[in-house]
Amino acid sequence: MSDPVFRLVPIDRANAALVGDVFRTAYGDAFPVAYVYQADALLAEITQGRLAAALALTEENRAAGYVSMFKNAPNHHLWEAGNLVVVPDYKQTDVSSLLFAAYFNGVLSAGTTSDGLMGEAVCCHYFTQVGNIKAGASDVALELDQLDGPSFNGNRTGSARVSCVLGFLENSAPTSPIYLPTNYAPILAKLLQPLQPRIVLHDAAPLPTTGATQREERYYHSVQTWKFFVHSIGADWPDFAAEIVAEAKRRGVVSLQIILNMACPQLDAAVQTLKSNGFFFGGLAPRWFGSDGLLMQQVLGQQTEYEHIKLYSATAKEILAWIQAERSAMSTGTGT
Amino acid sequence: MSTIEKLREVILKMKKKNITAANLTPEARFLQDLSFDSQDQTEMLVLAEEAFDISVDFQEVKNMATIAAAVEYIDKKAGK
Repeated sequence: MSDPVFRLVPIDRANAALVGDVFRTAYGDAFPVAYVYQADALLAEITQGRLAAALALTEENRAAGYVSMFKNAPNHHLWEAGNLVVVPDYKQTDVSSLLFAAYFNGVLSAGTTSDGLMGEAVCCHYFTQVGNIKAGASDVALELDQLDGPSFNGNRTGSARVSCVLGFLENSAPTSPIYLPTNYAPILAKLLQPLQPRIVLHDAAPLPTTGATQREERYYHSVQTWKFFVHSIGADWPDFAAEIVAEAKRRGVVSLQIILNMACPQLDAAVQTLKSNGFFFGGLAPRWFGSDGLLMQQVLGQQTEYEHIKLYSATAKEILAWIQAERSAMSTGTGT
Repeated sequence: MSTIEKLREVILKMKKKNITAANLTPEARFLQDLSFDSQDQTEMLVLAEEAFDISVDFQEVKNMATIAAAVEYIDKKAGK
């Protein structure tokens, strides 16, 4: 029997309803991104420039998979790769490679400009991580225990949670200078090394005595993950840090993440505040605000099952080693 | 240890259901006989990179069908 042949087609009014069918085969009606089940909402996302997506169709026009990139970061010139789904009947075909290639061969990005492409690869298998690295992306961060294990369709490890490694491919030169916090300067310098050159400033400032912290948030109730994107630090920073940890515990959040704008002169002091509230290093979120972001995180009410985290690149393994060392130092009170 | 013996160890390390050393004959087909999908194939190759100290070209091995073909590819990469 010959292998089936697939073709990638952009989403349009005629095929948009098939996207919901694809997700139902893999996730039922439980996939946390609602628009995939709603043709009109999906088309609106595309029309408004927040989503680029394609379907893989068989010769008989059956949907075999879906691939997309979308905009989630404060920087509207940054695409995020994600929501690649293969219909289970086609798992043993080459369709996943065809879908994955769409991130890098221009099929999805035709007609768009961007600062870069960010991709979250789950750490319960290697497929996406290998694809990212082989396509020229660099691993830059590790989001520990970000997804709920049992409800995550591709989780074969049986772990309670699934971590994600963040890969990044840069498409333009950054213009905004950044600060490096003292604690993390060595590892951040390594993570920045494969990217385009940055201007790094060293005259760090103390926490401000006026103004309010400017931030936005994303709360993913179904996976107990809460993310904050901090544009600027205000005088309320210490209270803010303590309050979100308390509120996260109240909500039953497992993965609490903060991405700090590295263009803030108070970055070093802000990191110290976070560390004293239990946060540890996550990595770099390049171009997240236009300028780069620093990911800080904590895992609440859950022991990280490190043995289930599958990492491909040496860089990703180095980030994990850094995190483990920092968490260990924090638990024994030997951290700085 | 021969390449096929080492590769068997690699595949068994994946702890995939219904795979035993006895299944892993040179003729065994990844897709039909071992029920490998793209994630399994990738995992095997990642573990093989480490075990054999080689760098795999994942495009090159996209259509690798059998254990024997994998052994041949590994030997070629390892310069045997």
